[in-house]
Amino acid sequence: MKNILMTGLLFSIAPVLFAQDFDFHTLDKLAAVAKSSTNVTLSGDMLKLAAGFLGSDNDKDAASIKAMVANMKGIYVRAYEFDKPGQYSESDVAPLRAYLKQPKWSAIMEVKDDGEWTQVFVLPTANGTKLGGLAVVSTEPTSLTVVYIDGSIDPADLEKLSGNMGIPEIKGLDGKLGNQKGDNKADKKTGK
Amino acid sequence: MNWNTDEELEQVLRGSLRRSAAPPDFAPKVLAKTRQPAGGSRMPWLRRPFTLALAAALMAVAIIPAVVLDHQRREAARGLKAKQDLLTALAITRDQLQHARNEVRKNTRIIQ
Amino acid sequence: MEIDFAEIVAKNQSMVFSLALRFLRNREVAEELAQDVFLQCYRQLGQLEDAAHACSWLRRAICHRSIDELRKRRYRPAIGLDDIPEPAAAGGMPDLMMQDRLRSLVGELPEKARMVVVLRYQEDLLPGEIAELLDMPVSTVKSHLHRSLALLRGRLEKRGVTPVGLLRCEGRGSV
Repeated sequence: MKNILMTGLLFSIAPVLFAQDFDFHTLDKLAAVAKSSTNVTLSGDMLKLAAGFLGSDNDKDAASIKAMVANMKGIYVRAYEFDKPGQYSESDVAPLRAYLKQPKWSAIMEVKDDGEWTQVFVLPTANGTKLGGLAVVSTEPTSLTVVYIDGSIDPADLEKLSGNMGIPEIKGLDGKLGNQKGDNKADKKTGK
Repeated sequence: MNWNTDEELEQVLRGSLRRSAAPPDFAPKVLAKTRQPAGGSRMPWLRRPFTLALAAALMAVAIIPAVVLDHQRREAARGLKAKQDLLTALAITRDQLQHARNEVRKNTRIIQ
Repeated sequence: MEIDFAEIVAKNQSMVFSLALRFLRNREVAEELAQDVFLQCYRQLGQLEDAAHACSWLRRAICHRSIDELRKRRYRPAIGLDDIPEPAAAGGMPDLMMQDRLRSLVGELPEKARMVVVLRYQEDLLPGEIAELLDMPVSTVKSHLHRSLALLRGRLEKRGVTPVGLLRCEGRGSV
């Protein structure tokens, strides 16, 4: 009886706990054990500052990114690579997955294959015509990537940016995430 | 023979301790120093309010541009870093989406 | 009455310089100190009434500044009146050196006693005048004089220096 009550209590509390903003604190500690890590937290003024340095509006690529960023409230990325499997656990990611299980989030893609588990979530707006957010959680035995974009975003626009503005092709030929050395450094391999 | 009285000693002392003449250039040196400003090497005009205000203004003119420039440099550095962070984040997001899409397509073809 | 500073310097430079010299036994320092005192006088010229006032001011200033300077620079350590070591018996010294030796012996007196002796025998001041100048009781001045003379006498006798010999040297030699 006691267990049932406790479980019920937890289920009632959980949505409250995870209804708050995306919480990366369970992931940030992984930077200490990761071979490489990328940590991006851009919101509010910093996001505007970044957009301001994207170049002149005459540049088409800069214009499209600026247009994309103009609708964003924030963009958050945590990407880690590890020397060997077992250096992080599913419990590190569980709070985020639980958060994204809230009814407001919709899972639009899920891939489970050969130790890889990738989920893509979107947050529809109230009127349903636009997206209010995008989240990607991708785990492999030796890598972990979480992306959260708060604000209006069209995933198709992102995919169009291949090779533009010096955005590097991070993944290798096999489509997997390539090596990233140090914080906020991306593979300089250019795309098409 | 001993000193019988103090008078003898005093007489000798007076002779030994009589005034010694000051160096010949003593008076000119003193008078020359009286023509110098008080305080030795420090210039009195340095203390005047106008001089202090001028010095403060000159320092401000010299320092403020440097401060502004330094602030601008820092802002530029922050901005460039933020831009790089943004591009990196967009690249990672794009690649994750592309990968997920490719995997879904691959699995769909297999099913088919 | 306006004081002519140049005249003050001319009239008192020997007194000021010599007091410092006899007390400090260092020509360079004495000159520097004497100049300082005159400059100090110059800055306070408006507060001095007349030439005589300036003279007594200068005398007082150089005495106190010399004592301060001695304490600051720590020249030869002052030897207490009661514990002067007996020097080894020496043969007869040349006459010209006698007066210098006497001045040297004066220079070995404790600072207050030394200044009393110099003021008494260079400036020919009375004990009362010395007491006022050095801010000490007259009895202390007299005591300093008595003990200093006794000391000097004793040391001179040890060296075989006679009053006749020294009296012959008067007027000759200088530091």
